[in-house]
Parts: sequence; structure tokens; C-alpha cells
Amino acid sequence: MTTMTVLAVLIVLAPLAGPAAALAGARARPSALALSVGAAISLGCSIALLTRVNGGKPLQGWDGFLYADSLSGFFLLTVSGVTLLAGLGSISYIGAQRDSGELTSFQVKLYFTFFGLFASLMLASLETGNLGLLFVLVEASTLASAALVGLEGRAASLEAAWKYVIISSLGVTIALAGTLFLFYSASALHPGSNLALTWPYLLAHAPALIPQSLRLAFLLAVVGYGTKVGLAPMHTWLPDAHAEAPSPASAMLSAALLNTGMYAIIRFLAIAHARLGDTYPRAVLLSFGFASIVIGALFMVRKGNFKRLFAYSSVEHMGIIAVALGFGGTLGLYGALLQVLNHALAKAVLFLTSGEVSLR
Amino acid sequence: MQFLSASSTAGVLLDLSGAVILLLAFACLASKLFDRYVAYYGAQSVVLAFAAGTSAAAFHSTELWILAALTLAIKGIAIPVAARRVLVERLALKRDAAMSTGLSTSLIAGGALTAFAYLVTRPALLPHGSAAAAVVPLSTAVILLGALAMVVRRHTVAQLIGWLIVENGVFLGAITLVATFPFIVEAGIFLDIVAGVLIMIVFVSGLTRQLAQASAAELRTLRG
Repeated sequence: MTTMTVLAVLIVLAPLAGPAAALAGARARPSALALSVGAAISLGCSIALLTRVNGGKPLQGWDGFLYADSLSGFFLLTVSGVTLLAGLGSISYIGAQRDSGELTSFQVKLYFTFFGLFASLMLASLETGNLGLLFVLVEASTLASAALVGLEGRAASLEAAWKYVIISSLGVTIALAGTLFLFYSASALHPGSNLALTWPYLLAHAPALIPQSLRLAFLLAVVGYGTKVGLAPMHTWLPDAHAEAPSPASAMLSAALLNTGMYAIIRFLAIAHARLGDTYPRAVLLSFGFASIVIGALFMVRKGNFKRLFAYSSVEHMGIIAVALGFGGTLGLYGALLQVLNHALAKAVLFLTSGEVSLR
Repeated sequence: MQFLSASSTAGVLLDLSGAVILLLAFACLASKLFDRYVAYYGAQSVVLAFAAGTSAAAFHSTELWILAALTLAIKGIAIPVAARRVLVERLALKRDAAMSTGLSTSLIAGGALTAFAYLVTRPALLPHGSAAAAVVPLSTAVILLGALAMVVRRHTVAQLIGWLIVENGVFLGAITLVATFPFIVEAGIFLDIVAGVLIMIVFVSGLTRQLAQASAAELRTLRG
């Protein structure tokens, strides 16, 4: 294994230190500390990986199942950074919840197990070049995070978790149908079954893809992964899940999970753009993007729970990113990615602060 | 990638299975009893396993044989049995009263969605004269009907079964359109479905303990 492969594997495995500590019987604060150390290792490795792939050759291996270019590197950096912040936030938040007896020690164990799995699955989904495996990992991360949303076991948190898991699972299944049509659109190339789902291969052979099938694939992928991103009108799970999850988990949902969905859309966008040109992907992304901005802004006017307010602001920001991607070009992409990083850091800190406020 | 022709034996069998799967999706949409939902889903998965077996025989693919066996064991037997034991019997669920539209309206909507599926998938999209051209519109219709069942049926168990029907639709499309995804991906999808069903069963049980009916009609605390 090369150094880069080792880095890539470390990024995914390091956050599992949290679950390992919790399952070995550590209490809330030490487990959160282990999680944070793991996330810090992930972050360090992401920076190392990003400096290596940026401008250089992307990391490729394992039949295309492992693939990381500078886009993956950028998202890895964002997600591992947010995981570190949320891990540090968990030290005080989950510690205090445990002290006040709001969470049982079993719930604390569950929290760290699913938190670590969630982070690790998201990081893994950013490192795969296989779009089928991307679906599998995104769906698995949905399930892990749904367990976090429903953790407190109250009627409201179970309601939020149910809405989240059922809407997101349906959405991601629609993205799987999109992946299926993308796979089929490569049928004229007669590739092996792995290659037809491998992103760099599809991008390199984009001119030979079947356009009608690709159009359907792109639309289904935007609707499907857009459900995870929280693009309107598929955003309805988002405010509930963000409001009901423990605050560090809300930070992860808003700042890491939404970005992972956006990453999947960008991968499909690159292929669609190479084959279908500007007009069609632009129309799709601009429609969903503007709808999200309008709906996010309208619902923010209603006063109420501030975590819901932040959640609607996330809908709006994801809309802005979709619009920037829709405009496209170097500047559009640059703006979109800058907004991804800004939103991730700002929203993670906001949700963590809201947790601290609610503890007072 | 080679395609099965629609007139070959395997093509005819796949077409027939697709039609039966669509009918079972309609049956699920029209049914009001919880044990019927589960029974229809189980029957649909058994037919799906048969379709996967047909496709496996036609393509001489070991992977597809394994998938057919997995479909039969997990979707055809394990999930229906678990759903019946853990949800329907233990929680004593009988009739699903909560519907957001009338029964006839939902069936007419189902018919319209089926027509829409043909409209979207037919023109120039699929290889002419292949089994896929016959089956993919059916599988798209199954996807839409599963989603419709999730919308008109308000109970959480009905929504769970609706999601599984959508999954069946995607799988039916996959085995006819592209023979198979890479095996690791298919295995991962199965794992996700099993994990998804487990976690949803936990949520439904939790909701039933806290609410009277665990119907999505009662899930109204969080809005706006």
C-alpha cells in the first residue's frame, strides 16, 4: 500500500476510536475525547492527502472503489473538521446530559457508537470512485444518523427520526434508480460491470454515454441526493431532525451530511455537464436551488425554536450552493465550494453554541 | 453488455414476472389490513427472486443466482416473517384506517402513475425489442406505486412496506436493464435494506408505545 492509501484508510478508521472507547466501557467524557482525537487524526490525514492530490495525480486503487482527487480532498477536509468540532462539543454536551441523568449510560454508548459510524461512513463515501458504493455508504450513513436523531426516545425525537429515515431512504433509493440509468447509459461502451460505475472512467468516456438515459439519471440523482442535501421541496425532514437530535449530532447533520449529499450531486453534475452541455444541468440545479432559497427564507420568518431557524438557514444555504453550481464555470464552482466550507464551519459552531445555550 | 430479447423464453418470463409484481404493488396499495401488506410484499419478493433466477439462467451468471437466493431468503422470507411477528402480531395491528385519500382515488392515481411510467421510459430510452424495454416501464411503475403507497397510507408500517416496494422496483429494473451491479454494491444494498428495516422496526415499536396508533397522521408535533 502506498502512503496515500494508508492516509485514506486512516481517515475513515480514525473516528471509530470513539465507538471503540464507548464499547470498551469508557464514560461519556473519555469517549468523547477519544472521538475527538480520532477526528483530529482524520483531519491531519485529510490535510496530508489534500496536499498530495491537489494538482497531482488522484489516488486510485482497488478496482476504482478507492478514488480521491482534490474535490474529495476538499470535502474530506470539511467533514473531518466538522467531526472534530462536534467531537469536542460532545465532551461538554453529552457529559452534561449524562450528569443530569437525561441520557442513560446505554444511550451514551449508543450515541458514540452511531456518531463514530456516521462520521466514518461519510468520510468513506467521499473516498470512493464507485457510484454504486457511494449509494451504499450514503444510505448507511443515513441509518446511522437516524439512530442519533431518535436517541432520546421521546415521542418528538422518534417522530423526527421516523420522518428523517423514511424520507431520506426513499430519496436515496431514487438516487439508486438514477445510478442504474447512469450505469445503463454506459452500455454502448461494453465496460465490465465495475467500470460502468467508476466515476473517472465515466467522465473520461462521457461523449459515448447515451444522452436520454443520462438526462434521466442526472435528474433522479439530483432529486435523490437532493433529499439528503435538503433541497426544496424534499427538505421537510430537515428542520425536525436538526431540532430533535442532540446538538453535536445536529452540527454533524447540517455541516457534514448535507455536504456529503452535495458532493454526490457534484459527481453526477460533472458527468452530465461533459455529455449534455450547460443548459440541462443548469436548468435542473437552478430550479431546485432557487426553490430552496425561497422556501428557506420564507420559513425563517416564523419565529420559534432557534435550532429550527438554523435548519431552515441550512436549506437556504444549500440552495445558494446549488445555484452557484448551476451557474457553473470556474467562478461558480469556486463560489459553491467556498460556500460549502463557510456554511460547514459557521453552522457547526452555531449548533454547538445552541447546545451550550440550552444547557444553561 | 448484451440484452435479452423480448421474445426469448427468459424475456417472456421476465415480462410476466414484472406484470405480476406490478399487480401485487396495486394489491398492496388497495389493501387495508396490515397482515395483507406484509403478505403481498412477501409474494412480490418471491416473484422478484424468480425473475432474478430467470435472468441468472439467461446470462449464466453466478452472481445473479446468489442475488436470487438472497432475495428469496431476505426479502421473500426473513423480512415478511420479522415484520409480521414483531410489528403486526406483537403490536396487535389490524386495520389501517388512516388514508389521506379515498381508496378509489388512490387506485386511479396509481393507474395514472403507471401510464406516466410508460411515458417517461419508452421513447428512445431503451434498446428496441429487448426484454428491458418491456420490463423497465413496469419497474418504474412499481417504484412510483410504492412511493404512492407511502403517501396515501398514513400508518408507519404501511410507509415501511412502501419503501420496500420501491426497493423491489429498483431491483427489478436493475436485473433486466444492466443484468447486475457489481456484486459488492448489490451486497451492500442488501445490507442497507436489512439495517434499514431493523432500525425502522425499532422506531415503529417506540412510536407505538408512545402514541395510540403510530400513524403518521398523529405525527404532527413538528411542523413548519
